[in-house]
Parts: sequence; structure tokens; C-alpha cells
Amino acid sequence: MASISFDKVTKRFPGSEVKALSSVSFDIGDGEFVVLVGPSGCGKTTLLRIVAGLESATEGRVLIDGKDISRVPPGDRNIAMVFQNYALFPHLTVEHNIGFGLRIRGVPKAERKRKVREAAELLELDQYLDRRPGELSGGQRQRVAMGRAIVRRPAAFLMDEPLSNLDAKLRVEMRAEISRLQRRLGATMVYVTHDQTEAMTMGDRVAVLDQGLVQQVAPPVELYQNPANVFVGGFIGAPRMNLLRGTCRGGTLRIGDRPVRQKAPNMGDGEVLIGARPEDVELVSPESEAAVLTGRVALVEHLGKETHVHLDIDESLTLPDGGNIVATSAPLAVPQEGAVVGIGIDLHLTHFFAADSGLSMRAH
Amino acid sequence: MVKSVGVLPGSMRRPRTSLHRQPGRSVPRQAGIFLAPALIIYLLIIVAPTVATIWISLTEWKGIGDEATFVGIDNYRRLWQDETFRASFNRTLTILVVGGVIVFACAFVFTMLLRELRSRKFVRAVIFFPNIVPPVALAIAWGVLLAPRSGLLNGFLEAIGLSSLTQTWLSPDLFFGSIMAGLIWIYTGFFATILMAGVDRVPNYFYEAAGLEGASSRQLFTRVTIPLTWDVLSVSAVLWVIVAIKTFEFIYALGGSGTDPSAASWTLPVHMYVIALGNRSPILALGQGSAIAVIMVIMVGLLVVLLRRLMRRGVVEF
Amino acid sequence: MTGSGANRFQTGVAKRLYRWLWRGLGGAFVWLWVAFSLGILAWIILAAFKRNDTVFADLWSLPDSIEGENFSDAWGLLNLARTSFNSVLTVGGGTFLTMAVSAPAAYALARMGFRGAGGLTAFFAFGIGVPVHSIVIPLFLGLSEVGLSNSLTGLTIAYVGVSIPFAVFLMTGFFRSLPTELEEAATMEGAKPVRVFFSVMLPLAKPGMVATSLIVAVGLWNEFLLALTLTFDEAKRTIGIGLLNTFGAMRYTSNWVGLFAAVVIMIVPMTVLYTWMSRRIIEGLTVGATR
Repeated sequence: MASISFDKVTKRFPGSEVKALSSVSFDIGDGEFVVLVGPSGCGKTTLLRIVAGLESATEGRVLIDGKDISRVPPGDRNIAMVFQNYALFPHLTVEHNIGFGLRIRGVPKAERKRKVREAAELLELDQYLDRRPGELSGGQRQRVAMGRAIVRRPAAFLMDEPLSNLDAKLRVEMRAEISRLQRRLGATMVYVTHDQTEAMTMGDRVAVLDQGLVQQVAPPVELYQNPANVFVGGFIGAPRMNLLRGTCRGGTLRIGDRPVRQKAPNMGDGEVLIGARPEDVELVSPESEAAVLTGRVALVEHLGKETHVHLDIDESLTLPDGGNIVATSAPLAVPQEGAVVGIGIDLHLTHFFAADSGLSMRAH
Repeated sequence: MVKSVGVLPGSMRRPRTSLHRQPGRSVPRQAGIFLAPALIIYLLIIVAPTVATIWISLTEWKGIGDEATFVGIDNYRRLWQDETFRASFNRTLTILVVGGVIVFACAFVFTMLLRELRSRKFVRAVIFFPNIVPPVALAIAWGVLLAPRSGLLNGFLEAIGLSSLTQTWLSPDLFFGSIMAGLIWIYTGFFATILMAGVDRVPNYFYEAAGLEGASSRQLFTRVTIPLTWDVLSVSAVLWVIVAIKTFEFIYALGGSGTDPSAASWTLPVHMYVIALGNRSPILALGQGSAIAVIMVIMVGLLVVLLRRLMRRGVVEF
Repeated sequence: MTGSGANRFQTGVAKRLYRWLWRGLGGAFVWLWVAFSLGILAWIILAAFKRNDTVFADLWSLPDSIEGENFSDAWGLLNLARTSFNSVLTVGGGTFLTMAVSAPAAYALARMGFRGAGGLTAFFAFGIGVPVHSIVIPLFLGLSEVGLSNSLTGLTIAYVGVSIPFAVFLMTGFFRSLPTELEEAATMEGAKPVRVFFSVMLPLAKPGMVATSLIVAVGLWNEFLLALTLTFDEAKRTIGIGLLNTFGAMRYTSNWVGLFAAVVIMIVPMTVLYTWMSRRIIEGLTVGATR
């Protein structure tokens, strides 16, 4: 197995001013499952394709087991990749699709057959070996793509949104299955997705990318509890984190004009962004002392287990694209739409970010 | 933080460097192996003779066995003053422009009408058919159709009591019109087929959406079909330029069964053939013929570049 | 809006009338065209079974009896035993070689993305615009130089040369239309470009190969100009020249029905191929021409 290191990897596509990746540096340990997550166009797929050798970095190096692989052709990197649309060869049977790489490498027929059979059994594909991809369901094709990756026992697996073409139910099943498979093979895995549920449930660590920059690399729980900046805070978690503008002067936090009674955690004076996850927002009576501001109930969404309450608040208190405040509440204690309610926020549970840099103020 | 809703996954919009431009792999050498055989044959069979043609066009040469003498641009100058050449040139232009307008008008009508027709595959197969028949055979058929006394057309007109309309269709006055009609008959099928296949590639939901918005069938055609098949139209226009300027066998064979056709039917390629390769041997005008060939190639080149410019537009993917 | 009721009604009627006219006239246009085309074909086929002295006297009659005599005449006029053999050899060989060199070239142009690929593609496409008869003289001289004039080998090579531009043009379009991921997947599995081409891209481009080779073959089968100028022995004649000679001989023999039989003989193979494969030819033409 293998470790992968990114050393100041920068990518600029020809004819484009914008850097698709700028100075990406972090390490992936041997046998580790790392998820690259971020919005469309953040550079996650480009980073994966650079590891694969399908793209080359404009600057910087990629090291596998400490060796710079920039000049090694893709096929010689001992890496396997599962493509988003699986990229199965339509003219070959499942058996030949899985065994394609072995055949290229000149593995003798008997051994090839045995290895393909093993991989197929692991993925419960053994009845389908004679079929062509066109005759398989989406889930089965996905498994064939996995089979083609694992049969060679490569040093690392690269997966580019492998579950995005499956329906919701199958996606949940395959999510668990890929995690199991990775643990069983003990393989290093780099997994690209835009789906934060996949990122949170599958990865040992998650790397969040935005606009070609690594925002944070951390285990999922850490990412949720301690986001390094506003972007990570907003990207991870659904419904997304509420952000309010505030100012801090001499230990007193104000949201708009209203001072918050609760003592703010120790931080310097200045503009801050207060991040409160919906489950940490409490709906109280407008006159209550716990209310740091008031809002009008705009929409109530019943999800069964819990209820999302969307609240309109004074626009000057939110970010331009921040929209309204969302609170989750127990199904029974739900206010009427149109009602004015008080919004309570426990400052011990909120996140503080510097208004200018967006960086978290907690860690310092 | 817009979640991609499966419209276009980010990875598909990303500009890609070519797969083969790998670090540590010399690309041109690989490409060279793939390209060399075709390129060598192409250079030897097409390009070198074309260059030779340019040279011959600057000489006076009566044929193999005669010594070619260099005369500069004399051939071109003489062509410029030659009435016959100008008539040939005008005929080729007429085919290109008038014929082109009619061929594409007919092809569009077929395209629009056949969209809804149940027997469209059959109709398409029939109208394309002349394009797989040898031009000589087409010329024979056209001759039979238009023959003065015993031709099918005159026979048909007489049979339905319209003998007043019978004509000597292949007389010098009408000959070129008859040629045009034949070319239109042949090539409409070809271009209708290409346009129809282009239209077939447009997903039906565009028509459904436009229909729901209340578009008439003419609006569907101008607002949906034309813009979404623009690349096909552009290629078709280029192919027509080439076809219209190059077309030769049909006219040549219709003009005379094995003899050189009369000058009243000459277009540029026929003119070129007759003076450079025709039956007037051994007093052939190879130099002047080659000059006509060069003019044709230049015409094709200029018009193709011009058309490409005029019709250039961003590629619409769907 | 209330006053426009009658107006709207009128436009409604006008619209329906317009549609009805369009449908009616359009339908008439389409079916007359089809009837005309099939009519000529049918007339020639029927005439091929008629007798020469009556064929033009009674244009619309059916043949008295189905006799093969015209066809045995045509067989001799076309020198079919010899010319068909020569044609199959040169057209078959020419088509095969054209595809063998054009497919890899088109793949390189469409997929290898090297500097100058666009210009080279245009350079190949330029050949489509070169009139064949403008190059036959230098071509003949060049082939004579290497002893390949008046030879079926020389003719085959010339056929390959004149077919390459359009074949490369169509195949480039095909290769462009194939998904990039398959190439990438093969590369990830360790395949080198030559292997990627033969194991993955060529099998995937099979429909395009079939369509392109059919189009090339039809063109060469119907060709007579190169054959006429590059060969001159009776023994080297192709079927295209056979038909041209038969047509030329008409001036002296007036054997029309024999000529019609020769036409029928000549178009039969391509017609069979066409009815069998027309969908592929037509699709191939468009995918190749538009991608």
C-alpha cells in the first residue's frame, strides 16, 4: 500500500487565468480513506486526475511513498481509478472488463481468470461474468468498475464521484460497501464527492476544497465541531449553519444594536460572524431574556423526526447570500407561520469567525 | 455552495488537456506513427500532383511527348479573355448559387415534411438513392427521360394531352437547364439526408417545450431546428461548395455518349477535361486546363474559408 | 381584447388553411418526387427486359416476356467477367487500405491533441476539394515513373489516395464523438497509445468504420475517371469503364436495351448493399460530418 503527498500542487489550465488548484499541500497516510469534497469547480476532480496522471500539475509535486511520480505514466503508477460514469468498455464482457489491466500487463490466462473470479465473488458479480455492460443495471456496472479497480491490488484507489449515478437507496448501500471493502483491502483511498453525507460517513479524514484552495483537512467530526473557516462551517452540515453579523467590544457581543446578555468567549474587539447550527438555535418568546433577536416565521417544514423553522430577520444582520435563519425544533412546539418569535442562541455552542478573513477565532 | 443537481457534473465542464500529453511521453512520435502512412500516400497521390498542376498551369504543353515551355501567367491571362471560359465559369457559378438555393430549399422542405411522416425512412432511402448510382447511369437515365422524340417526359406529356408543352429538352438552349434539374434531383437527396440526420439528433423535448409555449411549426423550424442544427448546416454548405464546383461525370456523360459534350454545356470541370484530356488529342492544352484546375481549387478554398467564417458560431452541445 | 373575437377566428381559419395547404402541397411534392425517382428506376429495369425495336415505340408497356438475352449481351458489352473481377479487386483493396491508414490518422488528429492537429486536419480536408481530373496527368506521369501506370496496383494506390481525405474527415468526426473516459480508463489500466487504439477505440469506432468504408466503396465502384486515365489495357478495365464504353458504343449499335441491362447489372451490388446498410451509411455520414 502507499502514502500520497501533495507538495504545493498548483494547476492552471491553458487559456485560463484562474488557478484550478493553488498550492495544495497535505499528506494521505498508508491505508487511509480520504474524501475530497467541495462545490462544483472547486478543483477536487482535478486534484484526483493529477494523482492519476490524467492531468499534470503546473507546479508542485505529487509523491507516492515518497517518490515524485510527476514523470511516471498513469499506467505505471500502480493506481486504479473508478470513473464517475464507470467508463466500462462496452464491447467487452464483465470478465474482460475486470481483467483488462491484467491482460495489458501480460498476466497468464489461468491466473487472470482466477483473480477476476475472486474479485467478482467479492463484489457478488460472479453470475454476470459473460455479460456486457449494456446488459447490466446501474448498480452492477458500478460494481464492475470497482472490480476492475481491485483486481490488480493497486497501491491506491482513486474514485471520482462513483455513486452519483445511482439512485438514493443504492447509494446508501454502496456507501457502506465501499467503506467495508476499503477496510478489508487495507487500501489507500482518495474519494471525490460533492455529497457531504458521503464525505462525513466514509472518510477517515475529509479535505474540503473551494476555489482551488484546501480549506481544511480533518476527521469528519472535527470538521463539524471545529470548522476552520466560514466556508467549511457553511459547507458541512444540513441545513447549513446560520451566520449573523456581530461586533465585539470589551467582551460584550452585539448583534445589530442589541447587546447579548450572555458573556462572549474571550476574543478581541472587532467585527465577527457568529455561526449557529440550526439545532443550536432555540425559539423562545420575543420578550424572553434568552432572545438575542426576533424574527418572523416564514416557513415551517415538517420532516417527521424534527421540524425546520425558517425565520425572516433584519437583513442587515445576515450575509448577502445568507438568507434567513433556520432552526430545528421538536415537532410539537412549532409556532404558526407569520408569528413573531424570539431567537435564542447559546454562545457556548456557536462558532466565531473573523468578519474580514473568515477564519475561525476559536483555535487561537 | 450550490449543490450540483445532476445537470452537468463539474468534471465534465472542466477544460481538459489531452490524455496523451503526458509527462515523460513524447507525443509527436506516437502521433507520427499513426499519421505517417495516410500522410505519405496523401502527399504522393493528391498534394504532389496538385503542386505539379500549379506548375503545369504556368506552361504551354500539348501533351505527353511534347516539351512543356514556361509561359508564366499567360494561360490565366488568355482564359480571362476567353468568352468560352467565361461562359463555363458563369455556368459553374449558376450551379453553385441558383442550384444551391434550390437544392437547399428542397432539402429543407423534405426535412420539415418528413419529420412527421410515417414512411420517412422509405422516402429518405429513395431520395438518397441517386447518390449510390454511377453518374454515368444517372446520365443515361436522364437522357432517356429527356430524349426529344422517344423520351419519357415528352411521351408522358403527350399521353396526358399536354403535347403543347413538349420540348427538345436537350437542345443547346435548354441543355443547361436540364443539367441543373438533374443535379438538383441527385443532390437534394444527399443534403436532405444529412439535414434530416442532423434534425434527428435534436432531442425531442426541445420541440415539446417549444410546442407547449405555443410555437407554430414554422417557428419550431426557425427557432429550434435551425439553431440546433447549425453545425450540420455549416458542414452541408461547405460540402455543397465542393460538390457544385467539382461535379463532372453526370454533365460529361449527359453531354455526349463517349464524345466530348458541346460547349453549350461546359462548366469549369468539363471545360478543363475537354481541353486537357478530351478527344482532341493530340492537340491538348494541358497548361490551360491546369490553369482551370488551379482556379477551381482556389475557388473551393476561398469559398470554404469564407463560409466557415460566416457560419462560425459556438458549438451547442445537447 | 373583447373586440378581437372575430379577428381571432379569422386568423384561426387562415392558420388552418395555411396548414392544410402546406400539408397537401408538401405531401404532393414529396410523393411526386418519390414516384418520379422510382418511376425512372422501374422503367429502366423493365426496359432492360424489352426488345430493342419496340422499347421506345411503346414507352409504357410491360415487357412481353422475361428474357435474359439483354443481360447476356450486357455481360459481353461490359466484359463483365474481367471488369467485375478488376473492380472487386481495386475497390476492395482500395477501401481496405484506405481504412487501414485513415483510421489511425483520424484517431491521432481527433484525440492526441498535439500542436498543429487542427491545421493538419484542415490540410487533409483540403483534399476533398481537389477535383480528381485536375491531378490525373501528373498522377499518371508519377505512377509511370515508378512503373505503376497501367497496373491495377497503381490504380488501387490512386484509389486509396483520393479516398483518404473524406475517410479521414469522417473518421475524425467519429473519434471525436467517443467518450474520453474510456481512453483514460484504458490508460489507467496501463495500456499504451497503440494498445488503447486497437483494444478500445477501434472496436468502439466500428459503426463509423463500416459506414465510412461503405461510402468509400460506393464512390470507387462508380468511379471511371482514374481507371480510364491510369490504365489502358483491355485486361485492366474496371466495370465503370465497361459502362462508359457500352454507353459510347451506343452511337454505333443503338443497343439501348443492352445498355439498360448493363446499368441494372452495375447498380445491383450497390443497391443490395444500400438497402441492407442504408441506415448505417446515412448515420455514418452525419456523425462523421458533424462532430
